[in-house]
Amino acid sequence: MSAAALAIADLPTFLAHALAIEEEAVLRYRDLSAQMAAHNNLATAALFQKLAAAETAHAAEIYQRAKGMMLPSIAPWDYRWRDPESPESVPYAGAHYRMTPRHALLMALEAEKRARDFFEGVAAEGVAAIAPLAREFAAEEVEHVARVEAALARAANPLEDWELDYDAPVSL
Amino acid sequence: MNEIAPHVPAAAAENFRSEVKPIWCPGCGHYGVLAALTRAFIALGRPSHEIAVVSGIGCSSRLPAYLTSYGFHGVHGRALPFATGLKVARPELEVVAIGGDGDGFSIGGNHFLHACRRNVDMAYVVMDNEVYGMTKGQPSPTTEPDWDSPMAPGGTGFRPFDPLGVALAAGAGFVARGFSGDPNGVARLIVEAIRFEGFAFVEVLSPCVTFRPEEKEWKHAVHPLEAGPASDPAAAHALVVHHPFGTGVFYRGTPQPMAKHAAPSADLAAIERDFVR
Repeated sequence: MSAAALAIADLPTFLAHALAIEEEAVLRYRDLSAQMAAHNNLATAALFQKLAAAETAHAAEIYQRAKGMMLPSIAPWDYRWRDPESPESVPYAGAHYRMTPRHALLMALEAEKRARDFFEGVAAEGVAAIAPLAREFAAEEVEHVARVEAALARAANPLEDWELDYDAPVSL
Repeated sequence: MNEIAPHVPAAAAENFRSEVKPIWCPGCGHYGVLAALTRAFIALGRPSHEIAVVSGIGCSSRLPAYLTSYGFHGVHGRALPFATGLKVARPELEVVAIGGDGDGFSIGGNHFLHACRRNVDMAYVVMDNEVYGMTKGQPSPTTEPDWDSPMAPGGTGFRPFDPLGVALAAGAGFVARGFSGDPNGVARLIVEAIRFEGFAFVEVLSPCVTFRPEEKEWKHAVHPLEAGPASDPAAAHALVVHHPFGTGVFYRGTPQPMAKHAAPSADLAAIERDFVR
């Protein structure tokens, strides 16, 4: 956990972070689904949609917990992430127009692990007002990791030449 | 402190995204810049109808279509003249010109110089991937001299254009660089650029994964500036020279936006005095 994360010291700030994690994950997965659809990679597009739906459900749960509470407005760069973006936002740079559902699941697995680590880190700080909830959220992320791992076990391995495109963009 | 729903940045970001879906290559750095722009607009607290995003031609110049703000996808290299006219005519709008390195530094290179010099109050964000991506990978003004490609076997041999150095030399009041893999950092730079009173230039290193896949390694090269921003252009240029992959604000001068004209006069004698000296 970065030194900056020590400043998550009250419940509203913690919930603002938790909501941002899930909401940004929803948007990112929707973006990636649209990217795949634009390149006619429909199987991976559908998987990203499923991941977006799952994150939407997680966001709704956190939203319910925060209902009626006043949350702080936090500028994007002031969130206490230890990476450039929130833990469950898979990097745009990891996408490829011929990526398979298995590649998407591997990205999701890393995202869930980052979220687990984030919540475990906050819990480890031991702030009484938030540590129990942070532990609960970390446990949920452990479940999500297990679900993605189970999906990965069922997902077919990509062909060795999955990137091969017989009509690839060529440099002139 | 706000109620929950409006403050959630990601949810609010969706309000700035249009129904048009980007058709950039998956993995393209421009997605990060699009995310940064929407986050910046939210942080600024300006509704979409108070913002105009103006572009030229190229992959990056498609961006206005993906936003709900006013947008103008214009003529190759001419984003800055259009943005200048728009800002002068509608000073209450936040005007952001955007584009790529070919559009901004080659076809529109002359406009870049004069936009820096005129110092009209607007921001210019250039997504620099050091290649003409839309037209299939020709070397651009910022391409390194030894980049080997079918169009320029062995490289062009030309010294690359120095966007930040030129902006400083031409008189830009605010000069910064970001990296598309850090959308939150870029959002911060864009907010600072828009808030700066005068012409503010932000170069964003934005990898082209299709024609320059080696640029994926930029994520390991970029680093935040430890010093800066400088208030002296020469000191800022030293930062530029020593930190080719440095990110942050390199230069922040004293805000001196182009002076507004005095109210028009209907006094014929006064007008004649302007013409007959």
